[in-house]
Amino acid sequence: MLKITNLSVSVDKKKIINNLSLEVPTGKKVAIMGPNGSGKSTLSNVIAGKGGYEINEGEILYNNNDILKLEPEERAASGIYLAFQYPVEIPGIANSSFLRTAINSIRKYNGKKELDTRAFLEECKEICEKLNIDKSFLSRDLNFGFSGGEKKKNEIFHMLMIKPTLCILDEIDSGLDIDALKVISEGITHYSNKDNSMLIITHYQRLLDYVKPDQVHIFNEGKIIESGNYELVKILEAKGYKEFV
Amino acid sequence: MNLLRFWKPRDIRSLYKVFLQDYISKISTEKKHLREKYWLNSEALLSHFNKENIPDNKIEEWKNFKTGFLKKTNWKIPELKNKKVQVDKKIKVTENSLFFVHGRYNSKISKAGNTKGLNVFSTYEYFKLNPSYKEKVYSNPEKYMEDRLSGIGDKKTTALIALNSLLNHGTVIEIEKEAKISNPINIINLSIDETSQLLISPYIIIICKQNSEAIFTEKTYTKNCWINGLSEIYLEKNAKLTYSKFQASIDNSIQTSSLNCSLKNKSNLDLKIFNRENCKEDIRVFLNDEKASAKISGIITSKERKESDVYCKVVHNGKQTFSDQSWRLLSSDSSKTSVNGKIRVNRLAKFSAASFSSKSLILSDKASSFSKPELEILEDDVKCKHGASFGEIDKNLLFYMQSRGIKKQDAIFTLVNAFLSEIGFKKFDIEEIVLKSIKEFFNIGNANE
Repeated sequence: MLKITNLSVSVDKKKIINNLSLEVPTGKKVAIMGPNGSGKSTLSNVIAGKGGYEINEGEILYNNNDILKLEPEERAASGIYLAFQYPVEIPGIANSSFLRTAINSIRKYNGKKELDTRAFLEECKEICEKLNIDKSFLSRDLNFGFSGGEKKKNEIFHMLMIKPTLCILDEIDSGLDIDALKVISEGITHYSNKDNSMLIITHYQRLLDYVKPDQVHIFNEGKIIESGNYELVKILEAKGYKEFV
Repeated sequence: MNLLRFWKPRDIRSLYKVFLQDYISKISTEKKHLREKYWLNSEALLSHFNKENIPDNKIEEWKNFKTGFLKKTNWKIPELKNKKVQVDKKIKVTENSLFFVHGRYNSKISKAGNTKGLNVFSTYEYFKLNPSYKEKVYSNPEKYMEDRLSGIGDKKTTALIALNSLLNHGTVIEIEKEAKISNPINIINLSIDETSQLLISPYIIIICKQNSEAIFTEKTYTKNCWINGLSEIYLEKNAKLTYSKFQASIDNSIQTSSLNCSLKNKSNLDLKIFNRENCKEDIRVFLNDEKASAKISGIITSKERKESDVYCKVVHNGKQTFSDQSWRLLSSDSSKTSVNGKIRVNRLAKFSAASFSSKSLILSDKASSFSKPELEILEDDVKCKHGASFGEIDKNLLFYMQSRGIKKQDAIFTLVNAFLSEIGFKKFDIEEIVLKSIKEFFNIGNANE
């Protein structure tokens, strides 16, 4: 589904991603772990299309199409979803209204009719219940005044509503209490299937204990320094990054 | 008729001849009223306009709005004969719609007869019934002159008010004592001209009697005109008025307006302004008696190389008076938006509270915005605060929205909408007009839908 080849990215001439090659196969959950400043968030931003990064070399193929020249909204419309590490607050825009605009925009891009309002709201309520989110979430301004945990839940709520095929979860578990982590993990696990893929960026084992990744990569200085399966997470938890960097 | 080109300053006679005399000769029924308009010190106003001319950027209150265009154009005075007026189907006409065509009240197409407590008069008729108001309304250039902190009055700011008053004797809209009118009253100014550039001088006086309540929405549709408007609002004891004033269309037009509000005991004014490109609004609110309060919120937008400027002064004269100004400014292209918000708390206005805040959003590198809060506090026991901020569209917000699938232009529009909606225009149909104009900014969807 996602194939990154020899990707190098810099910001203000400082190299952040360094000749990275990575593959996220369809139906698989791939975890990236790494110390602070290793380039994990840069990678997720570059895949999603954020500006301000200089692509020095390499390519990113998504379903065999080069996406580097696409606008972020075009990438989103083709099925890429980024759950933010720090979701932004936008006062003045209701959460549900924002989400409906986003979904309809993607549908329009893909030549589909706009979503029926009633069906949209029913689905919203259903997913809110699954994620143990109060319905008032829908009418509140987008992330405005939300706690850290609520913001992360909202990111997963959006993901479940938008139904992307590639989900990039950038430290979705940071700042979550145990109960919230469980709810979010269940949401991710429930959504994961043979047709979609997950790129999970995290520092901690606890999320991966729930989600159980198929592949785990350790990231440092913008490249993969170690790869393995779920067992690698346990080793990392026991020995720390020092063992690898 | 060529007005300003042939008019030489200080030549009062020539002004009369080219300007007023011609104007007067064209009207029939109103002719008598003008002669009998002894409440208006027309000689003083005329002399004043001749002396001061159209304001320019040497006057502090006008330094952000270019007026050269006004002086260079050969403005004409509109024909006063009652032509048949066709109202564009796009204009929403409700039960309480008061039409002003080329600045004059048109009773034939207005629909106000059935609203209990709402009355419309010519000023002449109204003063016969309410002689006390003869002394209150604008009649000489000192009425709304700028009261400088130095103690020296500045009459230059009233030159255009004088011009308006000379050309239009005004219409009084009265809300009767104790009347509570819940349905909005729509004032619709129509000044659409296809062939010539007209000088339109709407003069509207709104009087809300004791304990009355009303909601007004004033919309102006104009094309190829200079609208030089004057509005006066008088709120008597305990009166409550919500007044929304906005420019619905400004096709190749320019607007200079003066809105003056006088509030008595415990009266309350909620004023909402939408000021677009090529518009200059001069607002003065006088909180004259105890516990009078005014909330003023406004959206100021501009585009291309144009300017949009608001001057808003709130004068606290009574004890425990309250005012709050909140502005949102939006500049695109190479345009400029500006707001000058002055708060004057005079002696004896003890325990009063006043605030001013503005936020400017600048949408392009060449656009600019100017905000000038001013406090003149002459009393000790008062609370006043002010703040102004400027910024661009936050790129992180934009990326967040785009990454959810929303197109960049739509995302900007949504963010702008959110920025503007902070000051609570949502509940009014003003939203329709404001958003429509903003869609035009960004070329989003079909703005005519």
